[in-house]
Amino acid sequence: MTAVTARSVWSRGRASTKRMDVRPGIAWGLALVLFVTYVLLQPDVLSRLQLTDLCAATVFLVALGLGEGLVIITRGIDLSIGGVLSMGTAIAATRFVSTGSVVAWSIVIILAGAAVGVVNGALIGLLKLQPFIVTLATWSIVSGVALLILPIQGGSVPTGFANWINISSLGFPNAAWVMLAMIVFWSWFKRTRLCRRIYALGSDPEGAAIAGVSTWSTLVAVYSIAGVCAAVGAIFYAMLTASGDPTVGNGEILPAVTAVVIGGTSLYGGSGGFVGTVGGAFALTLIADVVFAWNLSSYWQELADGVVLIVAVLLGGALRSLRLRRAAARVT
Amino acid sequence: MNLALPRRHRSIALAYVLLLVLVVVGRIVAIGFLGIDHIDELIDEGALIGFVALGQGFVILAGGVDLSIPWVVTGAGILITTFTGTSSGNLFWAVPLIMVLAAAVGLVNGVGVVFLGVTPIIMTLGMSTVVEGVLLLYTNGSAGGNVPEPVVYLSTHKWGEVPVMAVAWLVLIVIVTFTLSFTPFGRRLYAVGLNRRVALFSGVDVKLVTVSVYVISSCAAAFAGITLAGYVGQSYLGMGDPYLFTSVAAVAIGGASILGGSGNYIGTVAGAMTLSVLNALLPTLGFQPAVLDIVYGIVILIAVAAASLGSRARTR
Repeated sequence: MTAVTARSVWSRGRASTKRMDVRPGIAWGLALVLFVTYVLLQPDVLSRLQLTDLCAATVFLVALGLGEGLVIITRGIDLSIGGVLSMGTAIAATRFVSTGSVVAWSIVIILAGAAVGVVNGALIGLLKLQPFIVTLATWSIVSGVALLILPIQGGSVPTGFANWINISSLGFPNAAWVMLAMIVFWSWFKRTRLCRRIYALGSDPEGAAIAGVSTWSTLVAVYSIAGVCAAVGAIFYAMLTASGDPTVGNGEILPAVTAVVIGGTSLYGGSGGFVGTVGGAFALTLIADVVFAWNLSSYWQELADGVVLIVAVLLGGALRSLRLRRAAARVT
Repeated sequence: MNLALPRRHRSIALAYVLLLVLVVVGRIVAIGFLGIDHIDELIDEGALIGFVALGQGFVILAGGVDLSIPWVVTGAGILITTFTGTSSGNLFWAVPLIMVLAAAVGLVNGVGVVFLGVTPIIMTLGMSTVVEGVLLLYTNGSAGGNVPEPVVYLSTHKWGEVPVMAVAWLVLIVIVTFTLSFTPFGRRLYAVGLNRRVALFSGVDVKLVTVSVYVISSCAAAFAGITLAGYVGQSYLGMGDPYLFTSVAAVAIGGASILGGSGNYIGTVAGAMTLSVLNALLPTLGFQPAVLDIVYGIVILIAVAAASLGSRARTR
């Protein structure tokens, strides 16, 4: 009995990673439509400079989305990535120039993000507390730490460090290389045992536990990855703005979740992936660009972000109930 | 029900003990702490936290959470100044209109959660950004204007030695406590928070109850926003930002279960006052205000761990 359940859980976990999924296509399609609109509105965006800007403005969101996506696959949510993003830019803006050691302090930022993730994962995995309230609390704690490090928006990062995101190597923008590296990482990661456990946990938590998936260690790993991704995002955000902002992360939680959701990762867990998230992140950046090119107030972007999230969640829910209904019809 | 009472009272009593300890500590370490003017200030700021925590408390009681509170607070504060300016006559339509707009935000939250099946956290996070966007567009990014005199009166005037805001809070405390403890709505709300399915089978209109807590939350946040504008004498974008963590922390300190189904506004009042005292105490002890955020987070974590471990012990 147990063996049967175990096998079905493992195969389900694998199936959802391997099955051809059309949902990432929706995000990339949306991004493409927005890009074409942008180009039609402002033909000169097809320059190398503008495309580099586009990649530079998107890369931090892609990093946030990589971690948030994995958390959402386990049916969780990580609000603390907002705090980690704020704290990371605060550390970068206060320590990079004064100490001169960008690499060492970048590692500190990443370790700090990982530490937040370990705490989240331990509380959620070991004490079985609800993800939203745990990460709301750690979001508050880390936001406080960010404000202690850098009380108000400001500080600076080395010019060379900030410029790195705006230049190209081997004919492609550095930001594009970073995103490519993340996609390569993903295509390796999704074949690992850990990733199969993550999907198994998300599609059927009880079944996964029966099949021998260690729930707590998987959750600690997932939230740690989310913390590290948010910290990496913070480093790219500091490059993009060339300064620090101890509250910036509060406004980036929603875009990160939205990128994941329009990328086709279901809030019900167990399905989705990173490729769609990248498309979703580009779509969100392009919404801002189109709003700008249309000569609309940039405030339309806030409104659009919120509406896009709710519509995407509703669409995801509708698609899911349609699929469930079809599956039920097939059985009967 | 009777069996649950002592436990509930214990956690509420604990909140008041915590408040008392903080007050004593404040009296010892800081000169001028708890002078008569200072008490008024503590109560005023406690009341503002109490207003937002009222709404958050209803939502948490029903097993949800409302992340849209900060921007509803900001929205109400900004609209009261832009709608009325200094001419108090406009208040007669401005205040009801703001309340209706807030109720509409709460209604959308509630409908999204109940009828469209969106999780509370995503729905209220999305609405928060929608409200933010609408406000930014409406104000074009620069809010301002004068706060009408009656609102300033409500927020800062004193009747003898008693702040008007304290009286307003007392009235709300009586209304909310009565509603929660002695009305069918209150009983249904506890039932929904304890176990949605059982409540449904017992004939409770779970959908109506759940939608109504989001409406109550937004209206309470709007009331807080109006009084906050009167208290600080102006309105600005982001004025509601501190109230997300504060509202959840006040409910948590007040002994309510973060997972829903238990808690009382009397406890939340102690939570709000504790945070207000802490807010005043930390700078005098040489801490930066940012330490408060850290305290909020730790308090919420302790509360959620206690609630979760407690409920597991009970089911065992």
